[in-house]
Amino acid sequence: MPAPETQSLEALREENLQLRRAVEELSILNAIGSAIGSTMDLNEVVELIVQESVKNLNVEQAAVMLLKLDEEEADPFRTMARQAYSGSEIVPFRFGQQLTGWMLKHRIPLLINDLQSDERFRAVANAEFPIRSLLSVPLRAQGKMVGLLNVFNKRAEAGFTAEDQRLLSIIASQSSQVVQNARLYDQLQQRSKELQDSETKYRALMEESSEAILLAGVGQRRILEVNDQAVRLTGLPRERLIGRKIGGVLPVPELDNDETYGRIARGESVRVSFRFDEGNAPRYVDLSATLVSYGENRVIQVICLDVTERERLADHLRHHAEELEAEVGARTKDLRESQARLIQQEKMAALGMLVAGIAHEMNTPIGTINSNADTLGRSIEIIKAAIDKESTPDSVRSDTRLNRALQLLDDIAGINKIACERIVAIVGSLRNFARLDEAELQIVDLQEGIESTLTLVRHELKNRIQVVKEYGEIPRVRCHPNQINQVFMNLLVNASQAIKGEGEIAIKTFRKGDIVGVRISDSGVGIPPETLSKIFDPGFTTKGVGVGTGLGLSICFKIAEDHDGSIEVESELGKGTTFTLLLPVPPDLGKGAAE
Amino acid sequence: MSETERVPVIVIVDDEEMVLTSLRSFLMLETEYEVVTYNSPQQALKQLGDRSFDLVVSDYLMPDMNGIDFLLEVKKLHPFATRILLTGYADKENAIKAINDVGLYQYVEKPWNNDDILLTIQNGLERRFLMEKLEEKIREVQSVQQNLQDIQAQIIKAFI
Repeated sequence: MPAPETQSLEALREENLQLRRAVEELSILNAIGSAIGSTMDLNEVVELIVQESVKNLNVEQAAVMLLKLDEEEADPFRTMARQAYSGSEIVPFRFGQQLTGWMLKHRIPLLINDLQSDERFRAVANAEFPIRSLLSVPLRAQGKMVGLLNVFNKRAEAGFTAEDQRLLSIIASQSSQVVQNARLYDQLQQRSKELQDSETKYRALMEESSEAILLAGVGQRRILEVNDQAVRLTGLPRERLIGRKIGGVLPVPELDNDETYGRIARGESVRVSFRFDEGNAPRYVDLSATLVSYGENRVIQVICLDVTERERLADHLRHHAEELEAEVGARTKDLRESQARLIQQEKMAALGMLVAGIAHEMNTPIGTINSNADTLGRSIEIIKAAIDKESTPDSVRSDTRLNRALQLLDDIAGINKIACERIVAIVGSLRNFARLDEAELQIVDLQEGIESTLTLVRHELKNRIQVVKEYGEIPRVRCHPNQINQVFMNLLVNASQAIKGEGEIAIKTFRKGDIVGVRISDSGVGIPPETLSKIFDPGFTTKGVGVGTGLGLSICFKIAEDHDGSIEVESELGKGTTFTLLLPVPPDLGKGAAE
Repeated sequence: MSETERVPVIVIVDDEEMVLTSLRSFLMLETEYEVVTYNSPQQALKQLGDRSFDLVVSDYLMPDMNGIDFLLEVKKLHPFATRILLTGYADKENAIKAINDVGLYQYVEKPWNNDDILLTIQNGLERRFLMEKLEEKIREVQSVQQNLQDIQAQIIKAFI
């Protein structure tokens, strides 16, 4: 055997083998390459790679394991991946600590022909699918590891060779980009589906919404989309709404100006209320415009809430409120009138009491003067008669009647003077009490008022009630004296009426800081606790029909309040009642008086 | 009023000095009565127990005692004295009630009329004296009867 021939034959054979390999590689590349053109579907691409790997490397099984897109560098133990074995669907897969973990860590091809004896991957060998040998290469795209291409169990005694590794690496390098492209495409489709879904959802929401919704573009600010409610609100068909500006279809020109648009673009929600007169009946609308995401774009969302019904109800309510107010006004007027009548009655009652008091006080001096006038008349007749008789000193001396008449003249004159003074004093008290000429605020001495009032109610007290006075040094106060005296009158009469037999009324005046107080205590029957809280209520009376109007104390209370003061009451059944009138000391009058 | 009759004693009680003076002056001018005045019923009661009087005029409304209570006390001291109440218009109801309850002779309203009050006093005194005379007569009859009984007794004694 000539060596060169053998040699050349060997070389030829070798060359032929290399050529065949090159053809194989080319055909693999061709197949994979054509797969790129034929499909962008990830499942199909993976399946193709698996099939080509099984066929070209003569193995029992092949698997493509893919790391999650965009997470190639993440913690391997937490990385969810996808894997595909020959003949199986792509299923979720978790990169573990074993083989995949090693590959993720080292990122170099791995060739094992006797897995059983390999200390590193003992657990893998015990798996359900008995692996005897394996070859694993990383899948790389744009310099990043995107997954693994694995083949298992070489159908040859020799196991995997370096040649196999080279071939698998070629397949891996050729398919990596395809896989990645398919995955990106897949992801893109997924995203666009999601977007479509959200758009659909949004559209559904828009259509279901009871409010009119208009979407306008952010650039031209022209209407892109409207719902049926918007069509109903504007009374314009959809095609006539699309493409117009919001301000062109709704009476809100401000929405089209740059300032408002700027606010919306900054994420502010712009609200406008308007009355919409287009269509059949006027509508009241609350509009809100906001920037929202719509699919991949940002659009101006204009929601129009039809508040016509609300406005109608509000209108109705307003009308109702006005009617009620009118009624309340009328009732109040009635009440005021009846209150005025009651107050008038109370005034008449007070006046009656006053008149009785005055009449009684006047009786004594008037009776005296009346009697004296008569006595004087008689005396003058006697004196005149004596003078007519051409009297002599003797006759005068002996005329007893004349002497008596002359004798009483002095007494009568003196008494008349006293009686007149008494009448003047009573009238003075009355005037002081009523202060009819002084309806305005006066600076007055409360004790003077008490004294005047006492004069007028004296006949109520005289024969059974002792009045004990304890006047402190109090400053004068600013008040309506006639009103304050009315309070004294009321309290004194009440006190005397509370005392059934004989008793005592104590009147004390005092000053406590900026407050002047008048305390009127009686030794009367007292007020039961359950009644005590009601005594200042208008119309509350215990005196029985016809005796009191039930307004006395309520008027006192009102008078005290009108003077920025108050009336306090304390009472103990069987022991008596104390009313205290408290009035503020005017700041300009408080100085110099005892504290 | 005859010279032989004793001078009637009139008591006037009122807390108002002017009323006392007016009434006293008038009565002194027009009558021969002895007029005694008090401005306090309590004080009057203290002193009236020791003296005789024929008629009392009392005010109704007085600080320490009212006129009706006072006149009731007077009745206990001198049952035959005539009692008259002087009263203001406001107390009229009380006065009328008192006339029935306490047995007053009359009431006079303030302001009074001098002639009216004089007439009332004169009538009251007349009543007082009639009562006194009636009493005197009864006493006389009683004493005559006693005498008769004594004589009868002596006659019976003499005969026995």
